[in-house]
Amino acid sequence: MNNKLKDLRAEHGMTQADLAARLAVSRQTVIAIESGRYDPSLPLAFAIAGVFSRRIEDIFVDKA
Amino acid sequence: MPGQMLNLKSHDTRTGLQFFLEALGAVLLLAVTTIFAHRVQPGTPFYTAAQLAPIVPVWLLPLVMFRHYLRIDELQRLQFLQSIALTGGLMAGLAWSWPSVQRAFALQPPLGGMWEVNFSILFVVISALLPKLRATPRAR
Repeated sequence: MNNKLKDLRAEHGMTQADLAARLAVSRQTVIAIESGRYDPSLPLAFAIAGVFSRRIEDIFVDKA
Repeated sequence: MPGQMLNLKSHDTRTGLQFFLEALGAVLLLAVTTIFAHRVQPGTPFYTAAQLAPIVPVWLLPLVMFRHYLRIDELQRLQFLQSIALTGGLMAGLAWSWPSVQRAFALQPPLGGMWEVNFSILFVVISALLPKLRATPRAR
């Protein structure tokens, strides 16, 4: 799955550590999601969408 | 960045350090109780208690792992469980194949105490390698 997390984070002037703290996850998890190595669970995806006030499908896009 | 890696205020660092210290405490307690158990002679008042003492730290280790599991996030939990599963599977394979190797080559090495060490080494290696793998539901 592709995602726009890195762009959104930059737009909001947040560091990976800031975002990790907001989501209560590790910075490694934020890095893994941004790089596409890990697709988050639905609750975490909703939390990410909530931080950026977007819909999940605006942030996460299927590769197919 | 090295500064961030050593930042003790970071939740990740504190969580990792807590796990390491708790596990180290359990292992040290295991070592102490095992040595004590071997030194107490049969017939002495505390013999039975001394022989049973290593059971406590042995069961502290799963408790330490479970406490760590509760403190980490979803990706870390996934990797932690994968590490335990892969290590357990490999160790089971080794444990079951070792008697055949022993019989085939007439080996007599005392591997009794080495299984815990093997497990620990394998667990650390697998834990270090797992984050490099892509965590997808299935291979495409």
